[in-house]
Amino acid sequence: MNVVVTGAAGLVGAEVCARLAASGHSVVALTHRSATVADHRGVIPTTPFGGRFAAGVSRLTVDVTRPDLGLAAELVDRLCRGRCTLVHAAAVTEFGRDDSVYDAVNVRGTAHALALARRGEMPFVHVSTAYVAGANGYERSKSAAERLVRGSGLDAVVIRPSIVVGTEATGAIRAFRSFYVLLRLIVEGKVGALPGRYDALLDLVAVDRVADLVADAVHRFGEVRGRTLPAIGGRPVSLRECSDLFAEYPSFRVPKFVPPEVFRADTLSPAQRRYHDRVVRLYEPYLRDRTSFEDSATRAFHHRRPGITGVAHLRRLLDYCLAIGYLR
Amino acid sequence: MTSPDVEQLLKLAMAEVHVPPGSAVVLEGSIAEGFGTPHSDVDFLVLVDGEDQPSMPTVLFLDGRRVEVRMRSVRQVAAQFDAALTAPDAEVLDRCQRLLGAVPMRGESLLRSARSAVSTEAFGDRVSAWCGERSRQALRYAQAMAQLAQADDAADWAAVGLLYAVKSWAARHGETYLEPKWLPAQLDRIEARAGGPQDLVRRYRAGVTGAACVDLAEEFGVTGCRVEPGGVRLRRVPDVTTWPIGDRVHVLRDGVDVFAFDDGAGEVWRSIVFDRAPADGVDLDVLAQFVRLGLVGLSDAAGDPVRPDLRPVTPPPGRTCPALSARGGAVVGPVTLVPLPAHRFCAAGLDLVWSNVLAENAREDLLGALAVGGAGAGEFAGRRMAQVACRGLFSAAGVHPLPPDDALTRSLGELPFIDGSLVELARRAERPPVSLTDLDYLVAEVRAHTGAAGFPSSFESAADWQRTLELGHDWLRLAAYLGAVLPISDAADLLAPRGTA
Repeated sequence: MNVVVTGAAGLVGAEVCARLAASGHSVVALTHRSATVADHRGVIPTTPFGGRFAAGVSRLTVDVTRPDLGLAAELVDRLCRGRCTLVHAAAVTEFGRDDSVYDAVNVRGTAHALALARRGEMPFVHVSTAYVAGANGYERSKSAAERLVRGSGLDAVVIRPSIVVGTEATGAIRAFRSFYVLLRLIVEGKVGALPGRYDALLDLVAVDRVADLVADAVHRFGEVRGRTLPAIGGRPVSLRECSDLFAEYPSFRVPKFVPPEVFRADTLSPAQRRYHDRVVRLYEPYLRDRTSFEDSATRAFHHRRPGITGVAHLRRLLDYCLAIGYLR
Repeated sequence: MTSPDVEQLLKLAMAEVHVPPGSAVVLEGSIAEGFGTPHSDVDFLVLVDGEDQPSMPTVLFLDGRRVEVRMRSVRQVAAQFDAALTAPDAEVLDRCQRLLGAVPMRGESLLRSARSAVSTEAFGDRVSAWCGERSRQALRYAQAMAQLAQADDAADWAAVGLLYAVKSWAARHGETYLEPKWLPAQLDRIEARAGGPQDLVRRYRAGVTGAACVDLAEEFGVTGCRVEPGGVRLRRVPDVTTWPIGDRVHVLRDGVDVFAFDDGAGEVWRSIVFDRAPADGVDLDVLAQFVRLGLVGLSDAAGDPVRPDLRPVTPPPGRTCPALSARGGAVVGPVTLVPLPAHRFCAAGLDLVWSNVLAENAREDLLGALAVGGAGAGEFAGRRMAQVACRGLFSAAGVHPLPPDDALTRSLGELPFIDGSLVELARRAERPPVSLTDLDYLVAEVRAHTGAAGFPSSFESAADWQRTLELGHDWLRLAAYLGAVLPISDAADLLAPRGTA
């Protein structure tokens, strides 16, 4: 099978490439700025995609914000003649970016990927997010992208990961973004008080579990055509549990989660106020809401259960962060 | 002791203890092993071919000797042998060894049948392996403590490690009696059986110390006991958690013991990162103290734990009174064991914070009553302000639950850190006529005694209420972890799932 993966340099995209290539598929990894594709184990060997589908992973530089992903017509034709499945994992996932960036990459990027899929009659596997309630610009853009997918009339499946974190087995992750940035600010004491509630829930899903599900959806696309499949840990951790877990680590500082209705940012020190405004503010809904997800559709399709979830998984993530020096 | 003596003692013992028919009786212990002295206890084991027997021995004093008669069923003995081969510990190995080395007195065939569960060679291997592991971990601990600059610990544990290395070697040479005190006699017997002095034994007897113990232990066959220089890593210990209260670091051990650290010890504790070496320049004496207290473990660079046969130390509880303030447990020196179980420490701390909130609340009520000229309401609020302020003194002493409010001021004298002038002030402030000056002075005095100076006016503004919550927050986190009952409904709301508080 030939599979085209957008966002192949991203956390999920790279893991998907690795799995599909290991299963014997010809994978065309589409990346934007990165010239390499690396999963949590390291760089995946690639060859330049010159128009022929070959075993393993070949790479092609694209720009999803442009029609035809910025590819020359000949390359588009080659891809479209390849009877490919398209995994669309390209997205800006960091919080706090300008809406125009989300619109260009996450919304129009999806429209361009859909156009390519339509032209090549490609089954479309769309990597979205479980958090599509629209709490911030990122979520709104992912929600809009899902609407495009559903309205396209194409054969598509939507995968909705929750908060993507390190692997189940070791907690390893290639890049520390989003959740990890907030985590670091918290345990290093950069923010002493945050607006939040101890019963707020965070669903953490291991990147390998997400990638397994995406790869499974590619393999068995016919069984899940038209479906939306949450990719979740299934055992969300509360901020109380996070707080208790942090207590296991002598070096960790633990923030005070102050109910949002009485939290006052103006009481923070200037340094803490800066972190609050730049980072914490972006995560307020996550620190406040008891969001949980229902994944019976996923469980009915994908039979691998999470090996480790909840607090045990979070402990493994923290240990990994300490082991490699991301946290101190 | 001669055989007739033993036989005579057995007859006397059998007259005192009911022995089921068909049982075997053996002489076990040091006399049976040939190590006995005229002062040694005489130990008999009755092996019963029937129901399981109670563990406690019957202790008799016969003919000027202390005689112990222990009863075991055949099933119990079989279970002991099974445990010795699968999950041995010192007691099981000792029990099995005593039976294997016992001298039959009655029912030899039953004894032979019971002993057949394990061969002498297999048991010797097991004892050797067990002693070897104990030696290995003691020597690793010795080296780890040397790396933490704890010379005395290192020397003591090196000696222990070498001793068990010799015990391990001796077990491979047929000497499986577990008690270390008979090691010299065991070595004598090994040499006698070998027909002359043994070089290894000679070198052990000559005495070695420190790092040389590791070298010699290896020659006695205990390998894998080296910790590379600079290779010590700090290891997580289950059920040890960190709870800052204000600026003070507290560490909870096994959910029961609370250790309060002074600033220096707090810094050392904060420097600990699991699976890493101690931080550069850290106070190693304090770090070693954490290790002895079982607050942090040690491993080698490969992550293999260093596990000496050592239970965590518990120091004498801190004797400072009051035992706690709003900012945590009182400290005397780097590490102080709070003289209260964790639950009471936490409950008292929460009560202490809450007493300050209530004092602010009562003061608000009092000011309101005085403003409208309601004398009765003013007296009530003034009395309440005095009483809730005094609650803080009892809480600081670790009293929980608190005495009734009406009994507080007259019980103040029971608190050893309260002098007569404060008692008098409290009694005066509690009674009419209301004196806001006295009440404010009382509150200030109480706060000075309980580390709550500068407590915010909780009900004056949202900012003050937030400050109040933040002051109580650290206590609340610990309380929630311990599952304590929270005295403050707002606090419960802060920590508990919404809608359930």
